[in-house]
Amino acid sequence: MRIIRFIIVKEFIQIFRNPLLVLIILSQPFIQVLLLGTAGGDINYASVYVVDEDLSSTSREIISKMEGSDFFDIRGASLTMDEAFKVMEYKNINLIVHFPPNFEKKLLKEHSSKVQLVTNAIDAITASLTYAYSSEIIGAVNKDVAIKWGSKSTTNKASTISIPYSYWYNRALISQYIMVPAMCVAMVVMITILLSGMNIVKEKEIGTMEQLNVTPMRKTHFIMGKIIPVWIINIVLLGIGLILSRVVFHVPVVGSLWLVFFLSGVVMFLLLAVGVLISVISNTQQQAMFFTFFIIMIFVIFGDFITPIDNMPTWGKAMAELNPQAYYSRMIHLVITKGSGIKDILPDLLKVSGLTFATLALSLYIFNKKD
Amino acid sequence: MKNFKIFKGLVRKEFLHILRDWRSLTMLLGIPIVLVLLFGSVMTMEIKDANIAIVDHAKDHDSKELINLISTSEFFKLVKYLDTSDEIDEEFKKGTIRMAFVFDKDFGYKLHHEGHAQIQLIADGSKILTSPSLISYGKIIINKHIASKNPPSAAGYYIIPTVRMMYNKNLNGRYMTVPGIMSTVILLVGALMTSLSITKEKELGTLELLLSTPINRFLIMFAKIVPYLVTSFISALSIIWAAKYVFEVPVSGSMGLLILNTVLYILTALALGLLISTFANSQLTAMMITMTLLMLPTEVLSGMTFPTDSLPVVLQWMGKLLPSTWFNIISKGILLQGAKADNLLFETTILVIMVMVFYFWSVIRFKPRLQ
Repeated sequence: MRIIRFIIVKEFIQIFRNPLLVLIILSQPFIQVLLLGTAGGDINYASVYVVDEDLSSTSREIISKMEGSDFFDIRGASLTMDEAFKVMEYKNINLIVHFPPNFEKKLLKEHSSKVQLVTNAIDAITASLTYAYSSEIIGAVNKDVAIKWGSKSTTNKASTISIPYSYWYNRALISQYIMVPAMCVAMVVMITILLSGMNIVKEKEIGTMEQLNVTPMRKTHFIMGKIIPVWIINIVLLGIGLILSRVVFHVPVVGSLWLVFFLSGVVMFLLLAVGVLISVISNTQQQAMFFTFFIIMIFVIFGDFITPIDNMPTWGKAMAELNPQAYYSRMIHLVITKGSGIKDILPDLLKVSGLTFATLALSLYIFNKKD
Repeated sequence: MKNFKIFKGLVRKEFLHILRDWRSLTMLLGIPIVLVLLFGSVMTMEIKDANIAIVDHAKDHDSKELINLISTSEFFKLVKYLDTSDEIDEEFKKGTIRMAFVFDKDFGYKLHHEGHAQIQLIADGSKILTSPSLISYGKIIINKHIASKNPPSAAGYYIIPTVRMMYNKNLNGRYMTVPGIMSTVILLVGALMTSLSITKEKELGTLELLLSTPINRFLIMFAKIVPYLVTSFISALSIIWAAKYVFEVPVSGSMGLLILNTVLYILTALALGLLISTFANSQLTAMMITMTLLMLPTEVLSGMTFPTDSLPVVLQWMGKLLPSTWFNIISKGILLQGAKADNLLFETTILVIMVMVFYFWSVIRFKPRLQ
């Protein structure tokens, strides 16, 4: 057991011998969490181009409501659609609002009139949101117009449904509250696997592995000694990330902070086990690099970070069962955003522990065989 | 010319290095296409079949009618009927639903006798990307329904928005994500390859020997890039093939123009890797710099998943420093909008400038004698 302590100290000495590496490691919370956390990850902007061939009070009211909203940004106007299409192509405008001539007259006489929304649908979600918000604005003006022009008796006949809505756990829908913890998760996943993946294989490559094999040290102790320093480093990084998220972004932590660290610690062991497995299978640092890169890409993109897992086809969801980032992300959001307790995350924690033991066992088996 | 002979010799040596390690070569050619296939299959930014629950306290004809409309809409998938609103919290935490509709006890009665009723919409505030759209769609469905129920007499005035989706009629979520994953993979693999290969030579000491060759540094560095240019080009072709035939992303513009720009982008990625290798002192450091500076920032800032307009201004400027941001504009323009060379002149010039800056900066940094 004493030997583990020596390995741990050796690892730390090796890391601190390389000041550039220390700098890179310590800068991670600032790059990933502080910098990218401000991104938010929500859609709050759409550029609009107006083609108003009607120039009536109704069309102007719709346009001015759009102008007044935070979401829409009116970039220009013209009287022809040709011009508008060109602008959409060159400047990638999100929406063209087109009022045909006699729009208001038609509305008054025939009681219905069309307004055309041309959306740039390259980004399907922005397009959906743009359409939805435009419809809301048009609906509001529609109501005003109906009240203004309709006679008292007839407007009273119309039934209405009011639709109060709320966003739970994040009333004001502040995207940073979700994005910043997600960045902490992504950072920990990436750094843990990078540091542990390239570790053992380097000793293999430069030959010190053989020397270590001659010592009376047990393989399990060797691996423990390698894992623990990286674990410690990442707990520190997570701590810095959480401090930043509180101080800079004011992210409220609804659940227990201890639980956050506890579950992070558990997931880190799984990540480290994956790194060790990669390191043990590879013969050269370059091979380890390929595996590490591949695994990190898969974990991060399949891990509920950008695309929600519920959107995925069945096999994608199945892959999430093996993905540490998916578990980590889910548990972190449960505890930080929704205030869950250990009861809610227990099934996930057990699965993670199971995967950790399996991965470590596999690594040890391969490690022993390679002699 | 003597210089050219030496150059050819160096290029041949680099090719031999790669070809000798067939495991690495398969991974080098295979990983990009596998990643694109995997991610393209699961990453869709669409709003479809979102799991929702209904809390129907009224259980009358009107509520059932509306519930039927909601459940048959393409945006929602009714998965649970809940008895009370309290159960919503649990379902959100389990992740089984993303939104809930709550009907009051006297829904039908109030609607017919008081002309006014209420439906509550509750969305999961932790899903910042999709919840606003879901709420909006819920409102649109309800409002459309109530408008259709109101007598179409002289009372009503109806402004009807008609929608036309440009460039992506079916709101295919892949149109945005597939070009994005292309640019990320090409950038990461390209930069990793060169940064690691040069750093490895630094570590082994053979770089000093290389730099003592009697041709100038520019050509030595360029010789290192050439084989990776070839392998990246082969990968890129396979990726474009996958985009077109597997994911059915249209190629509205010229394929030749796309390929030319891809080559330019590959050169940028390789030159960036070169630059990173001048800062790194070990393979681990090189990999860490490349992954941490390029992976998550590209995913968040380059317009791959979130539209760049929705980012804070500071981050938009930082995103402009990434080559992938510009390539995303170019590739999406050619693929989806049929853009021609003159439309994309600005973006292409930026990439050219980046290649030159990265390349010359690296060459300057390669001092003739290494520590």
